[in-house]
Amino acid sequence: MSCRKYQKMTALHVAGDLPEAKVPRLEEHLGGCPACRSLAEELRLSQSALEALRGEPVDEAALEQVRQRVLARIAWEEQPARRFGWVYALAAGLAVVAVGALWNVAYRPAPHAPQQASAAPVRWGKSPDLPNDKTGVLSHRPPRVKRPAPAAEPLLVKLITDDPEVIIYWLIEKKGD
Amino acid sequence: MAQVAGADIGALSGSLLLADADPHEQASRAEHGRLLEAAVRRLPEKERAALVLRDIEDFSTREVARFLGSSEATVRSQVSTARLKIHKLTKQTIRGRP
Repeated sequence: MSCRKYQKMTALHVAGDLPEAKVPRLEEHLGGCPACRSLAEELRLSQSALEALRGEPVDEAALEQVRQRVLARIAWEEQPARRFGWVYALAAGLAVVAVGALWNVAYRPAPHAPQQASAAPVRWGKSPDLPNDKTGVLSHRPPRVKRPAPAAEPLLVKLITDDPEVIIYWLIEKKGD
Repeated sequence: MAQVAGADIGALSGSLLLADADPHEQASRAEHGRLLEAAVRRLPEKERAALVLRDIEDFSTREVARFLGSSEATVRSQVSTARLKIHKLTKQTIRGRP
């Protein structure tokens, strides 16, 4: 095995990440290779420096709590039912809408008949009120009643000038109909 | 071993562990910390993630593998490559200085 392979193993060994089964073989190599032994020493120091970047020590119990929460969250997210939960929710929502639509179509109440039409018998003949109604179909329709137009509210126009104390208001009122 | 103002990498790295260091040592420690951070930033994203989680955040290899959605073997490979690169980069930086 080349030194390059042992270098990668050494980089793991300095932090205890090398699988136990591989340790004896590496140590045997380090015993006979001064270059790799020197690298191992430098990597140990480099590793200590990296660990020094960890900053303020955190309370071990608090860290464990956070760790457990993170792992629990990951486990929760890894469940397929959770990951695709929104799909089921969407399907359920669409089903509810579809059932509602079907219900509306199947059991729609009859359109509310105009009171005037129900009071007066339907005339199938030509209507005197509707001279162009040749079929007589429209003759039962109630005459249109023109509703009075709602009182037009005056339009308020606010003009803001450069002077903050001067504001001009215009009231525009529509006359007549 | 590379030389920097009379001190070698080993001395600089070792000084990082001293709690009651003198001002010169503290400055060396801070400088080496900056070098390491710069080297970490230069790593490819996956190697950087694995190294930071394993060596700085101190998660286990198994936990890092779960976080990154990869195998433990992959994490070990990324971490070892990253450690070697960090070592090489910091060494090169120190050697390149006047």
